[in-house]
Amino acid sequence: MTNSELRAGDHNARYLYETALGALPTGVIHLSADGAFLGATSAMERMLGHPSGWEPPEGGLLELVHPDDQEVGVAALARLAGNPALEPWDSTTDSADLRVRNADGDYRWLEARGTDLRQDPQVTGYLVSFTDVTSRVEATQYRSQFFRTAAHELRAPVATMLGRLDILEATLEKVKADLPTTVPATVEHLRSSALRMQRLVGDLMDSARMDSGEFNLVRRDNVDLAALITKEVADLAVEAAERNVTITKRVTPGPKVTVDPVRIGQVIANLLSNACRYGKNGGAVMVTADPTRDGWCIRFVDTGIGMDAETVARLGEPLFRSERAKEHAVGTGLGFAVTKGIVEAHGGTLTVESELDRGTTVTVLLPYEAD
Amino acid sequence: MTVSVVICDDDPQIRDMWADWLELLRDIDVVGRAASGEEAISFILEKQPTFAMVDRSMPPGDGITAIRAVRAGGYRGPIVVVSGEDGEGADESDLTDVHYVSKASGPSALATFLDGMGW
Repeated sequence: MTNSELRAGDHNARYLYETALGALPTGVIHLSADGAFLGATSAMERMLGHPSGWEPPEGGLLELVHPDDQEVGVAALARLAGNPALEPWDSTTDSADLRVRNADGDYRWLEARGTDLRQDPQVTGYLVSFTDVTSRVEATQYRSQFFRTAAHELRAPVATMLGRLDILEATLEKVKADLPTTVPATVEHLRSSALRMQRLVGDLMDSARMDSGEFNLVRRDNVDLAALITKEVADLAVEAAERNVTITKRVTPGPKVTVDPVRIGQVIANLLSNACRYGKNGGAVMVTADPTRDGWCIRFVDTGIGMDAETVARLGEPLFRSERAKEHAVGTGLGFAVTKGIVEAHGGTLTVESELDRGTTVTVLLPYEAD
Repeated sequence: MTVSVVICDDDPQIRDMWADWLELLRDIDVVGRAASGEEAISFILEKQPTFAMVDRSMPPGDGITAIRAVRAGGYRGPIVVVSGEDGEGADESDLTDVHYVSKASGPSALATFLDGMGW
């Protein structure tokens, strides 16, 4: 092959390569090892609404990033550059969403992924690819806002129902001797349903907040975990008895934890309730709490219907419920996601091990001092 | 002593529920029902109730602003802040004699407050 044939082959390969890159919905920017702009693909220029041969402003690419997303951009670049104080950037899985200004002055949400090429002396520097994800981000924001508004609007009528039931019950108390037994029983059923709805609305609100990253812990108190577990076990006694499930607990003495007591109470109540609801008739639930080097290790062990590996893997997904779970007990699939979110908001972890028809063990590791 | 209250909530069903609950179960005299922050300020200052109940969020405006205004106007009675969502609201450490009741805990939390006051 002659030199001119080789050059023609190079030219064809380069033409094909650039055409293919230009046809992709993803734009790519090439940066030097010190972060200077070296070039952008035509798809990148098109995405930002610039003509061919565009170059970023003198202050660099970060000038195009929305002020609220500067921190995200700087952190992503620092990780890509291998800042030893930060977690290394994984080019296959890591991405950062940020708003970038286009030629019209409008901001678009772009998902950025980076590859470090510094090890390759032929090319060197970094490749950063950008995909326009504005519609995905806006859909998530809309969904989150919709759930928050819906949950907010549902709270008032549920609170009204519960208050009215109090009034009804107190009024009936005065004439209870003349009432058929169905009347107080009906009031109790109505209250139980209203309370269930109140919990669902709360879970919906929490889930929407977690979805949008706006979930915060309200209080930090020194909490005696043993007392909290004892209280939650006592509160669940009726539900456990109805399902003929025995709850036992063992708490090793240890230090207090700094947590939001209402939220950690909710975690214990949710996990105990799950263990009972998915228990078998005559089954057992064991709660243990032990102080470890890394914090309190709280275990919920049940002898219930258990789950297969696929179900365990999908447990944190909001609204997910397996077909077996739907057959066995009522629920929404929100409680577990919220429970996990609360534990993580405390800097803790929640892990699940399960075996079909044998039972489930949920382990919560809660640091003594939350982050 | 007759215990009186002004109830402030933008939701009429919640307002009426609290009013009926307080009148029927606690024999408390509901002397005013305010539907907005502005009404809350004028009713509380005019009626000078034994205590007031103020919804934290009463669009337009909010209950906390109304509470600051009635305190500045000279009202000294205890104020129950009814909150719809946990954890909302900025710094409220300047407020005096306020008691918090979450909408989710409802009447039982209010009953605890009234019992604590000996009403």
